[in-house]
Amino acid sequence: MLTCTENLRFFGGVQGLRGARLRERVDSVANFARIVNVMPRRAGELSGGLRRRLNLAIGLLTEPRILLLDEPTVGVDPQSRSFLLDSIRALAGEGRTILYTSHYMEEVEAICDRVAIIDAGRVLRQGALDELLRDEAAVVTVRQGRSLEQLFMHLTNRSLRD
Amino acid sequence: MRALLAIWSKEWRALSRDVHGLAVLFLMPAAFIVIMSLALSDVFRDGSTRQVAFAVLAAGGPNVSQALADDLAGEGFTPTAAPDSEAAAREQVRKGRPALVLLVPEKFGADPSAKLKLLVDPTLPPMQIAGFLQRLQGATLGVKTSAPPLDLEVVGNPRGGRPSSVQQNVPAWLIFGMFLVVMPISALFIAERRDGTLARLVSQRVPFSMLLLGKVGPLFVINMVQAALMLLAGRTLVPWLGGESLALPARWDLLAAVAASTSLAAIGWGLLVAVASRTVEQATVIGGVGTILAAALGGIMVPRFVMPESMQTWAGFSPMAWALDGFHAVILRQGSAADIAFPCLKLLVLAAALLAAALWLHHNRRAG
Repeated sequence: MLTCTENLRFFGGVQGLRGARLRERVDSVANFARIVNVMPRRAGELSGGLRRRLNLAIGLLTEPRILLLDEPTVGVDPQSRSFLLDSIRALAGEGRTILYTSHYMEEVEAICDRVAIIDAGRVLRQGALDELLRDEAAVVTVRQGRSLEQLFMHLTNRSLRD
Repeated sequence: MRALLAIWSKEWRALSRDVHGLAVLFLMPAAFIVIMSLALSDVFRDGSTRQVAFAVLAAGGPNVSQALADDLAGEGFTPTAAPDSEAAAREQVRKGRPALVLLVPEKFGADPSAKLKLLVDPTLPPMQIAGFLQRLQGATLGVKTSAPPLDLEVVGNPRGGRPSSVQQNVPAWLIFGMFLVVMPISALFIAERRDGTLARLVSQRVPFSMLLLGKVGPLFVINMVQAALMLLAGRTLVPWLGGESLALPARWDLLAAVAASTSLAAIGWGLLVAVASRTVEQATVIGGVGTILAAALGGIMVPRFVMPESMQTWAGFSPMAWALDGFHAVILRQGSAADIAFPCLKLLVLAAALLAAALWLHHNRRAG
């Protein structure tokens, strides 16, 4: 129901931003997420990729030091996905801590330093990505390769999650 | 406070753009007001075909009572069992059943000073009282040919007067329209839950109670606008289409208090349905059907005074009946604050209970 501008102003307002500071942050995050051109449009009418970028922009309004991103690339086009991953790398490069959850292991491999594999609410493995892939026991068992995807499938017994 | 204002502003924008929801809230009750006021106008009109129950209590004994009752019966007047005493007769008329009791003194006919006494329910249309007197004159025991000496006593009736069609239908469909806020509330709430808006707000440490309170403000304003427009429809639209104009009360503050209490109960109901429902379809079924059932039971669709006594008892359990009592106390009886206090209190307690239930359900689900 709300436009992108109204969404950003609403979430900024809820978090205590107002006046010139709110306007400045809305402009800044809209530029960062490259949604300036769609700001007058209603969020419900946007494509999946644009909605994800709006979500990212909302998350950045208060310049948080820690950012929790829950499957931010689900259902988006390849261009938006690539843009989101680049943006997340850039944010991490600025010194922010980013907690990123995903079912796409190649994304995790591409942007994460430390990884925790969680299944059914239990942490099965955690550590630096390189260390996990070097883990001798896992490598011995996972003969098909050293990808995070293979490790994940091995640790979760390849069973379907119904 | 700033967060609450931001939520209010967001809710206001979202609601104002929900064209279908607004149509349900404003056009539907207005249509019901016009249609039902016109359709039921004959039912409420004086001298309608309503059956009037009456009884005869003759000092001469049950046989005299029965004989006179038989003579008076017909043309819309139905005899009922004679009460045991004048006090019992007065009590029965006070309750409106029967609406008329004729008291016949022992020496009536022999002693010129002996007068008949007719106890009358004040809500009985004058045309029907006149009709009964005419039958009485024709059946004066064959004792006299002129009009019998008679005292007419209108017995006080705590139910107050009976509403006219427009007095019944305007507040009734206004209340129904107010309770229909369940639709936009739940649709918006479920959409926000689905899109992650609620999760994001909770992650930003906005208390769930504040989210709910944030929805109350704009919806309350919408309900008040509904109230103003529906009263205006009763005042202008209904007479323009040939119906009776709604006479507005002198005490606007009491009218506003009843409308506000009704609104809060309706919003509480809407919030509980919104939190309890997982899909819009669920909300439509629970909210829509629940609202219609409460309306049917509470005297919105069918006035309570035409319901059988057992149904009238059940009607007392519907919050819409409480709201209607409040509106009738102001519009119909020009009542005081004391007259609306109990209906308003019941509505406010219900509103608080529904809001508490919504909060409890939300926390329970999160904990589960």
